[in-house]
Amino acid sequence: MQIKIHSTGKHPSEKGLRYKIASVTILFFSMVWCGLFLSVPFLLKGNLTLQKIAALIRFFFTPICHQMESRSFHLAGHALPVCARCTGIYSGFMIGILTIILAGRFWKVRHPTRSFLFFGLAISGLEAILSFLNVFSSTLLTRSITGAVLGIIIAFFVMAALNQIVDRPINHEVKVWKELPVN
Amino acid sequence: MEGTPSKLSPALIGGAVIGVLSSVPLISMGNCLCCMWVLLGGGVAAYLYRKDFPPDREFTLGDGAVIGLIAGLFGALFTTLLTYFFEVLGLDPGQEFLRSFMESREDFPSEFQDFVDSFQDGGGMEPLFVFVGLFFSAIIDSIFGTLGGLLGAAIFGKRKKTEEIKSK
Repeated sequence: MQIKIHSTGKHPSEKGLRYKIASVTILFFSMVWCGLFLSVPFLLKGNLTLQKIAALIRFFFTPICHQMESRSFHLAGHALPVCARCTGIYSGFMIGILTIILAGRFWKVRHPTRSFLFFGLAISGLEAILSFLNVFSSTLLTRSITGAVLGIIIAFFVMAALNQIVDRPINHEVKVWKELPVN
Repeated sequence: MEGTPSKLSPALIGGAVIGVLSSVPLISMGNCLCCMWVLLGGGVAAYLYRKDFPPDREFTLGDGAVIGLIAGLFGALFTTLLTYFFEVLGLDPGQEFLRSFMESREDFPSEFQDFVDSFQDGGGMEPLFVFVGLFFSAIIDSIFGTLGGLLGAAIFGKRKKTEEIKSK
């Protein structure tokens, strides 16, 4: 025998707390992510253990970025383990999350329109295509800026998704025998 | 959640898309473009999940993110298994990947080079390497799978009409 408990809402303060915890968690992990790739050039300057860690971090990013040195920013004499566009996307994402949190409007990010997403994809894609066709000469800066725009837009979608997940009604099943007192 | 279709089959299909495209030699290079195949797999899972959704329920970005996350985790498992399978067949996508990785780098410690050499000498199927690969894949695929599902939901998701939302 089962009892279905369905609650359609939560107390506003509980929602607020859950939003804050979830948004700060996302911000924390995005900062860790950016910290990982930004730390590599400095780790390579350290002792052997730090260099091994740097190699592992670079290895970690290998499947998700071409890591071409000519298309990557350099810090402390070493290339970052992700290209300028990826650097822009990840940094833009982190800045977007941070901005939404600091602006205190996290709970208002509900339904970003898909044209907003297409704009971000188009601006980055167009820059890449025009550069490929030699119509426009892209630089590290233009790649990172268009990537950052896309990253900021994705941050809005992630926050909206988080909002919807946190906002969901509680719906779970509890078996009666578990609810009964033992004695 | 009540009234929602099963997540298992769309997540499995999405995971299979990720696994196949991310492990077949050459094709897997597509992941260098912002994890394209993992994003695609998450998006496919979101699309399939949305198709089975009841018409009276809104398919939200949150639904897409959750199904994308599950697809990403399946994808990591499939990628590791298929990569192992290709190595058994002698296609060695892992070794090819490591070789290109090391050729492009000169700033690595020699110990790391030794590790890669041992892998290329036939140590690539060691449980440790498979485990590390699975661990890295699980992190990357779950993040980008979630993102793919979320973007899939943004593109394919159905939205209630404005009047419907206002009436609430």
